[in-house]
Amino acid sequence: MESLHPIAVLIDELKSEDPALRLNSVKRLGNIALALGDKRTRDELIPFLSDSVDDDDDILITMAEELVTLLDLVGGPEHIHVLLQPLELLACVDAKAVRDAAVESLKKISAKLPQQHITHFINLVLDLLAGEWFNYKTSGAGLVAQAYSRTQNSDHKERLIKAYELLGSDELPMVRRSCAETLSDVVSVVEEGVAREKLLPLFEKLQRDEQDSVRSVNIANAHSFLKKLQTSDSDRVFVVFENSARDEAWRVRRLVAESLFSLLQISSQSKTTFCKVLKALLLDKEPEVRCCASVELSRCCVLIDSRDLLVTYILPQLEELVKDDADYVRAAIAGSLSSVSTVVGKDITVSRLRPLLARLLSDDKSDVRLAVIDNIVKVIDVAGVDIVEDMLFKAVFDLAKDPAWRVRRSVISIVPVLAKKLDPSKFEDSLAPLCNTWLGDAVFAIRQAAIENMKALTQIYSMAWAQTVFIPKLKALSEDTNYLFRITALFAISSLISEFTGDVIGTELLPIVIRLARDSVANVRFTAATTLGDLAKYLDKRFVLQKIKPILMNLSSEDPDVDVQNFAALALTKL
Amino acid sequence: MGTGDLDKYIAKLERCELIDDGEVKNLCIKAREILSKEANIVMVDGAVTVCGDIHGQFFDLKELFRVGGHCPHTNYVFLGDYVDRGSYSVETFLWLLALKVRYPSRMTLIRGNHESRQTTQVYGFYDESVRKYGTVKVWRYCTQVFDYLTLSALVSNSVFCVHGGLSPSISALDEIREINRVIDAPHDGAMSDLLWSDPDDVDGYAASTRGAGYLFGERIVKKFCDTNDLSLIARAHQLVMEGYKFMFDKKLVTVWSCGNYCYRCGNSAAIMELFCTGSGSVLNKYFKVFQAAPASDRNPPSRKVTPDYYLV
Repeated sequence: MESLHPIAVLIDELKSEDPALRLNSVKRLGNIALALGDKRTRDELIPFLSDSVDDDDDILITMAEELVTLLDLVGGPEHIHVLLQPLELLACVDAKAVRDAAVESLKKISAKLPQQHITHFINLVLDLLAGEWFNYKTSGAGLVAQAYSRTQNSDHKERLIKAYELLGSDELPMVRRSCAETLSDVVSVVEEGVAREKLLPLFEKLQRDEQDSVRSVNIANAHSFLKKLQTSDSDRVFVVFENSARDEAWRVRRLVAESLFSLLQISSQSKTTFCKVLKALLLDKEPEVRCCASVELSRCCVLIDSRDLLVTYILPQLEELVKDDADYVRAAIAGSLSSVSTVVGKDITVSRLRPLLARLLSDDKSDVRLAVIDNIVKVIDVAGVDIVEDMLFKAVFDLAKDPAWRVRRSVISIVPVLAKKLDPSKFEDSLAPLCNTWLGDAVFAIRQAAIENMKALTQIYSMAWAQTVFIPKLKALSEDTNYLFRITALFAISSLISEFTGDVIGTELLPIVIRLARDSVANVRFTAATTLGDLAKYLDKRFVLQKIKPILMNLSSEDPDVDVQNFAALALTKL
Repeated sequence: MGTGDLDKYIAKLERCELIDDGEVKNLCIKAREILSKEANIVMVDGAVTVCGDIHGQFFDLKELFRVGGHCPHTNYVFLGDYVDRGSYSVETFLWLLALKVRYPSRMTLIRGNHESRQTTQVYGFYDESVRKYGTVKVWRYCTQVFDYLTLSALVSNSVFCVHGGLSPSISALDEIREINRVIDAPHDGAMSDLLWSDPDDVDGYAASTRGAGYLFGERIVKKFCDTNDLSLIARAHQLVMEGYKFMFDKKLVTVWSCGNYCYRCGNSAAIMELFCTGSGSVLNKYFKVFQAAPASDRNPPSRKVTPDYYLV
C-alpha cells in the first residue's frame, strides 16, 4: 500500500482549482478508496463524487471509467449499488462522450449487482427511458439489453420493452437513432416471442423513419433478427431489407450493399432473391452504391455459388459496369471479376469474362488495370494462362512505366506470382528485361522492391537462370556513373548470395564487390564493406582470410572516411 | 551517449515516436559539439542529394527517403526550414538531427529562416513542442541547436547551397566564411539575407515584402557565379508547384521538398541528385519529382498527448 501522505495529497487534489490536478487524482480513485476504507468510501467519497459531476469532460470520462475499479472496494456485493448513483448522474450530462463512458461502466457494475438490488438498477433504467431530456433516453437505450438480461421479473421485462418501444416514436431523431443503434443488443437478449411481437414491428417502423440517419443505423439490425427468428418470420425481415435497397437515400442503399454478405451467410431466403437485390444495387444510380456492391460481389458470388444465377442476374450488369463513368467503380468490379470466374467456370470465363478483362486491362486508369492484375491468378487457375497471357503482358508493360511509383511497386510485387504460372522461356522474353529496368529505377523504393523480386524469381526458376538474366545487369549497375546505382548493385548482391553457390559468388559476384570497395565515393566503399561481411559465410574460410580480411582491415584502418572505417570494422566481426 | 543510443533514438523517431526530454538534451548537446566545428560554408563531395523545405511534414520526409534512399547510404544536404506549419516539427527536426549526429559527413543541415526563436513562436514549433512535452525545455534545446546550424554548403566547388539567397553585403564566398553565425537569427545584415532573400525579375537588389532579406535579379546571380566560379545556386524558401524551378539561364534553382505543403497546396515535391562523372570533372544534376505520401502511409502512433509530468 502506498504511504498515507500521497493519499492525502490526492484527496486534496480532488478538490483542487487546477483541472490537471483533479484529473490526476480522479485517475487514482482506487488508491483513494483503498486508503479511506470501504465505509468512508461509501459514506464520503461516493457522495462527494456525486456532487462533482459538473466538471471538465476529460475528468468526468475518467471518473466514469475509474468508478468500475471501486467494485471491490465498497465493502462487498451488497454495497455495489452505491456506485450506481454517481454513474446515473454522469449518464445524464450534456457531453455524449461522458454519457457513453457512464453507460459502459453501468453495464459492468450492474453485471456484478446481487439479485436483491436488481430492482434498483431496473428502476434506474426505466427512469432514464422516461426522462425529460433526450440525454436521459439515449443513455437508457444503451442499458435496456443489460437490464432485460439481468432481471427475472416479467413485470420488469414488460415495462422495459414498453418504454423502449416508445423511443422508436420519440419526436427527437437522436432518440430514435439510439433506439436503432441498440436494437440488435436488445433482440439478442429477449425471448423469440418478444422479438417477433414487439421488436420486429419496431424494426419495421424504424425503417420507415423520416430521417435517413435512423434508417441507415437500423439496417444493421436485420442480421440479429434473422438469427433470432424462425424461418417463417424471416420473410418479414427480408422485406424490410429489400425495401431498403430501394431507399431514397443512397447512404441507406450503400449500407444494404455492405450487409448483403453477412445476411447471405445466415439467411434461408432463396439465393434468387439475393441475386435480385444485388442486381438492383449493381445498377444503382449512385456510383458510391455501385462501387460498394461491386466490391461485395466478390465474396457474395462465392456464397451464391451458382453459375446459372450469376449468368442470369449478374453477368449482364458486369458488362455495363466495366464501362462505368466512375473509375473507382471500374476498379471495384475489376477486383471482383476473378471471384465470379471461379464460380462460373472455364467456359463462361472464356466466352463472357475474357472480353471484360481485356477491356479493363486497357482502361485509362492504372488503378483499374492494377486491380485486374492483382487478382488475375484466380482467373488463370480457372481458365488457364492462355486466355489472358497476351493482354496481361501488355498491361504489365504499361503499368511498369506508370509515373506513379506506387503503381510500379504493386506491379513488381505481382511478378513472382505470375512467374509461377508462366513458362520460363516466355518470361525471359517478355518480363525479365522489365525486372532489370526496375533495378535501375529512379526511385529507391522501387529498386528495393526489384531486388526482392529478383530474389523471389531466382527461387522460382533457378540459379542458372538468374545468372544469365541478372548478373549482367548487376555488372552494368556496378559501373554506373551514379553512386546510388552502384550501391544498388551491392544491395542486390547481399540479398542474392543465399541463392547462389560459393563457386558463382567467388567468380561472378565477389570481383564486383572488391572493385567497389575501392570506389571514389565513400558511401559505395562502406556499402561494399558490409557486403563483403555478408559474403564471408558463403565462402571458404581460408579464402575469406586471405582475400577478404585484408581488404576490410585496410578499409577499417586506412580509409580517410570515418563511416567507411566503422562499417569495415563491423564487417570484420562477421568473418 | 554512444552510437547504440543514437541508433535507438533514430529507430524511435523514424516511427514518429518521441524520445524523452533527457534524451533530447543529450542529442542536442552532442549536435552542438559537432555543428560548432562546421564552417559557414560546408564543403561537400559531388555525390549528394539536395532537398528543400520540409516544415514538419514528417510523413512526407519519410516519402522523400523512400524516393531518394536512406541515410547513410545516400548523402543529403537539406536547405533548411525543418520546422513550423506541419504537424510533426518535433519528430522531423529531431530525426534529421539524430541522423546528423550519427553520420556527420553524410548529412548536412543548413539553417533556414524558420530555424529561429522568433518564427517558431509564431508558426507552430513552439506550441507543438510544449504540447507534446508539457514543458518548454525541448524547444529551448532545439533553438540552441538552430544557432549552430551552418549557413550554406558548396558541392564540388561548383553548386552553392543556401536557404534563401544572396545578400548585397556579400560578393565573394569568403565573406560568408567571416560571419559570426552562432547567434539567434538576426533581423538584418548578411546572415539574415542568406536566410530570407528571394530571386526575382529585378535589376540588382530590391526591397522584399517579407520584411527581411532582399529580392535579387539575374545580373546579381550571374556575377556571383562568375566571381566564385559556380555553376549553380541551389536554394529553397519558396513554394514551387512543380517541386523545382530554374531561373536565370539555369544559374539558379529553387528546390521544394514538401509535397502538398500545409496539407492543402496540392504541389509536387522534388529533390536534386548530384553526382560526378568523368573522374569528378562533370557534375550531373538529376531531379526527382514526387507527391505527398498517400493516406495509407501516414499513420502516426497513437499517443497520450499530456504526459504524467505532474505525478506524485
